[in-house]
Amino acid sequence: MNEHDMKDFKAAYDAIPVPKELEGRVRASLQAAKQEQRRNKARKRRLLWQRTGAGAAAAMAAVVLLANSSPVVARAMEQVPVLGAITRVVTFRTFEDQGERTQAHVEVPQVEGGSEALNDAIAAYTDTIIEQYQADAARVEGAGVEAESNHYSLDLSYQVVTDNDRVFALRFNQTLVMASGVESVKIYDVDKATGELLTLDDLFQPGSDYLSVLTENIQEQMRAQMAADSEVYYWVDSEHEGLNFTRLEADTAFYLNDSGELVLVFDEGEVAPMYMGVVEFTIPSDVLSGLADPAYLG
Amino acid sequence: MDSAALQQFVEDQILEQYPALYRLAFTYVKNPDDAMDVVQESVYKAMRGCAQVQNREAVRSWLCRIVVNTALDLLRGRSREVLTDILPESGREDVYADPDLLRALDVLDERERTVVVLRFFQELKLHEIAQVTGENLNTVKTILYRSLKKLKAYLTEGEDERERTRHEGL
Repeated sequence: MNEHDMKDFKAAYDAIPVPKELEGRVRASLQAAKQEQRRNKARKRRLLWQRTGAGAAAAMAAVVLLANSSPVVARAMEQVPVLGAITRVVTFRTFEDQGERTQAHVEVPQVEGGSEALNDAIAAYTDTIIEQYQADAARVEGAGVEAESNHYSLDLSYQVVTDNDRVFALRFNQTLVMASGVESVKIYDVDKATGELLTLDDLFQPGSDYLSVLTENIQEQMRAQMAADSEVYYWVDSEHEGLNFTRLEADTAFYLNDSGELVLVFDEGEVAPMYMGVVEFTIPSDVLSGLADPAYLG
Repeated sequence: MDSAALQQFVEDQILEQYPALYRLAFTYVKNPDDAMDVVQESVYKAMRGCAQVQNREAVRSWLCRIVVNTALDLLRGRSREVLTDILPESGREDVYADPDLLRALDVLDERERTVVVLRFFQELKLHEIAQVTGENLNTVKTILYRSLKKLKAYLTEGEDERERTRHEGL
């Protein structure tokens, strides 16, 4: 090539300016992915603890102690009656932190009348998030970091999303902001009759292939939404099969809406590009007829 | 290599290479906001999927592959809305530091552009490019040869000719 050789090309390419805020966004993304991973690990650990039994009570005691002794922990005890006579959710403690460049607000609820396993799971989840925040905050405030990302903020709030005769579901919304925000969701579903934590599997008849049916329905909804609105995009028919949503995971977050329909919730970046945020799909009851356990669904 | 060490390695590579990954994304989406979206999303995918990488040598090309795929996904998601009568805004003129030069890449199709960008700008080896695009080595060589010929033809066209083609909205 006479006029311009490849070196000129490379120089022009290298001259594409990289925005300053990119570093913060990259770090936020790293953080979000690691947090997700830690949550999965914590979930496995919790299952082990539940099996050993005694450990769960010990963990609970430690949390109570922390609430009473640490000056950082303000007890809010705001009482929110939600479950009538059976039980209610109270903000057991609030973790607040305000640093020069970091800020956190975490509400830790306790379900009164809820099982120890539930409250232990909630405590382990929120403790993990708070510990992570403290580690990250120390790093951001520390002198060693040359990051452009000079702000770090965490917000964790909860909300009762299902409260019917049989099922109770408590949802956590987490927003992590470094330069841009990353949202994620965690939902605890409880069988009010037994106090046990519910999995997706529990809502269906034993041996039924509900995951395939749900997967197919979600894929249909994705395609329909994309056809109706060009702003909407899901990974469903992408040529890059690795990204496509092909199989619903049994541990996907869910709750039941006011009409008793199943709603599945996906974290940012899980089944769609991150600009789509947290996405939810409501599964019509008729799709699940014959599969669902009538005690919970429909 | 244990997975924690691999993950740490991937993280280090990301922090070192995100400017390069950004430029790679930019050659596809051609604006800073989308390019940042692509990089941010790719980082998330890479961290969640790093168990898939077999060895450290493959990390760089694997990161490029995620960025290319994510960028193409974004473009395909967008293409349906762009297929209207709207022409690219005139602001486009400023996005490249040396517009004439990099705009030449537009004469290449998607596959050709990917190979050229990875070979000359990201300085990947041919077999690494094959890993990124999922083609075999000979195909990559053929595409590269063809792309260079196209570029050369474009660049040696007269200046007037090039001006005209640009205004015709090439």
